[in-house]
Amino acid sequence: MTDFVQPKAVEMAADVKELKQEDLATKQTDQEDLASTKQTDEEDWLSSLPDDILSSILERLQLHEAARTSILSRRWRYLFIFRSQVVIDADAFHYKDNKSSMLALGDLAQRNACVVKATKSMLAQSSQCPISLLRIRFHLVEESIGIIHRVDGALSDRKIATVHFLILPEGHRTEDELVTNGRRFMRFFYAGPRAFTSLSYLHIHHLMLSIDDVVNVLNTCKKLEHLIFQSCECGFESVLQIEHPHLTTLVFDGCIFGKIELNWLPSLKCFSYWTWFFSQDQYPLSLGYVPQLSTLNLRNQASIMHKSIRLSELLCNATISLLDLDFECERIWVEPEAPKVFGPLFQYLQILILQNIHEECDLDWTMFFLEAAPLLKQVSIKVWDHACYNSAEEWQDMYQKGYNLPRWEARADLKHCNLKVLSIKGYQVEEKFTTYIRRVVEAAANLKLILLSHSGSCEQCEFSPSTRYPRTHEERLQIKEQIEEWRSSPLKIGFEPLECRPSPTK
Amino acid sequence: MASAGSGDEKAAAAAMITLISSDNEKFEVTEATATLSQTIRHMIEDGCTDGGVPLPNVTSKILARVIEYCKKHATAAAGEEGSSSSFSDAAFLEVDRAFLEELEEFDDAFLEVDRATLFDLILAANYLDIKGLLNLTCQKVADSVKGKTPEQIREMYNIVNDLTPEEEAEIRRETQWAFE
Repeated sequence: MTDFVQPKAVEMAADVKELKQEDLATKQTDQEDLASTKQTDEEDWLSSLPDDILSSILERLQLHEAARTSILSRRWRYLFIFRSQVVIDADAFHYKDNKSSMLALGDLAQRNACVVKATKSMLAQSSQCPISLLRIRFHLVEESIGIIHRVDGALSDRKIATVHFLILPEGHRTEDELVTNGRRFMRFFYAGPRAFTSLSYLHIHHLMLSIDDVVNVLNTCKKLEHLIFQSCECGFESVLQIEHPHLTTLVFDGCIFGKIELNWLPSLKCFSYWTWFFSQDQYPLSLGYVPQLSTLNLRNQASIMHKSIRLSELLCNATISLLDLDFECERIWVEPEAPKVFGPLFQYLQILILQNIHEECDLDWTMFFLEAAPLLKQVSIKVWDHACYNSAEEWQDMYQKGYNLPRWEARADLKHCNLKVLSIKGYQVEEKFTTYIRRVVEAAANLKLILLSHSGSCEQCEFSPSTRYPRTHEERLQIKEQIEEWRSSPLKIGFEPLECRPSPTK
Repeated sequence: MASAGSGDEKAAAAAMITLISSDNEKFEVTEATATLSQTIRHMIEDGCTDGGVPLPNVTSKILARVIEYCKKHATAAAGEEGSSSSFSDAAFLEVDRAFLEELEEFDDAFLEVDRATLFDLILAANYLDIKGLLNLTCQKVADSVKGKTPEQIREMYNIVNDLTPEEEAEIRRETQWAFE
């Protein structure tokens, strides 16, 4: 029998030849006889599997690959259609040369045309087999209206449990393009009311919309659970008030709004606000009725024009369990506050992530979280000081890392019972880190693990800072011994694997 | 699973089930191993496993392999419970990583079989309703056709093209988007 782990056609052919020779030796050289022997020896096992297994195998392939099997034989013709998950992705229809990151407009149009055809083909079938997930990632070009129409039509006569739209922009360089995108998106929106009403996931990019448009979308897309706005603009003065019964995840990434007010979102669990516009007298965000909000991600590159945030004021009455703050190597835009100011506000906080704290800033101020959050289990800090892109020179003055450096004097007798893990990425053999670790170790009686890792390198330019990360056994042993001196109970201290980076020659 | 006291646990661990292959070979396995199969789990729940479980669709050769898989993954499941309760936050700890890697290596080695065995394993996993094994084996077949042209797939699996040229042209027209 041919070995399954050798799929190469050449090897297969060789095996076939061997078999033939055996046949020739034992049987007559009659052509017909040979053919029939061959068939029993090399049965078409695959096609003989039951339909549901074959369909399940095909579901593991991307849609276009699965669709190609329709041409194998009559048996295979319709198998690919019985998918419970139909994922049609513009990026899956790439050409041989998929390495170049910038795609010519022609390619984009061609790929999108494939998405339109695939949607029509998958939804046009008379098959009534229910779809658990229909996820389409397409470009905001005129032809895509066909997708909206088809989905809208299919929803009326077929059971489709979940619909996702990920809508990519055509052009996104100029303001005019954003305006055009916004208008087109709204036209699509009005063209497919059933489709949009059924959406549970919507990701939109680079659109200029009016507040009324956004409110309209929110009111119509009643089933939405995930909504992602990326680089969408409503203007610096705009105030977006959001009320929605089912949204669980809401993301604003690089958008321009004056203020976002989460007025009534009873199901919201995770909110991310990445980059907001400066204002010296108001917060970019207000939290109203968000009883289930547990994960809050805030990321901003703050200038001196940004108002510093007092979390006690911002969080109001939300009960957050995971707080992720990213300072993008610029000003620290939160103010340390006394535990009594927080009251019970942080009583559910379990995981705290502080990212991209620039190197000029010490870490002692973060102790205020420990004081205010008695149930905190894990603190992860990343120290990093490399911005790949250079802000234009005229803006340089606006970003002053030293401006309003946070200061906090932790209580000397601070005791914390629940902190288990302290992780520091970008650790260096340096006074700042030593002092900080000592403070935490002395305060957190039940700390179990300290992870000290290298800062890594920049994702964009592969810049890797030459830091004083301990790279030898001796250095690490010394650090361990020092930390263990500060406490009596056992503590695990983890470093990067030694072989990861070349150790300096002795 | 019942695990109130350590006594119960021991009893559960000791409970053995006899599986009987189509060629009448008997295999003694622990309940923990056997219940990776939903089919057998239901039989145990219904209390109809006394005197052994006949599996007329599975040969001894294939059943032995299936049991090998279930044993490994049953221990893995038990180990996972233990490690996650001790420390869930540090899932990236070396212990867990090594553990997962070992399991992956086992799965890879397990799949090093000839094609006939692979398809028998798929059918057995389907019949016995062992989700992990069915996933693993179906994924193996899916991976083998990934990136192949229809002609290559036909050749690999001896699929005879019984479509008329007209039918073939029609299918190509319908699914043109998949071939571009």
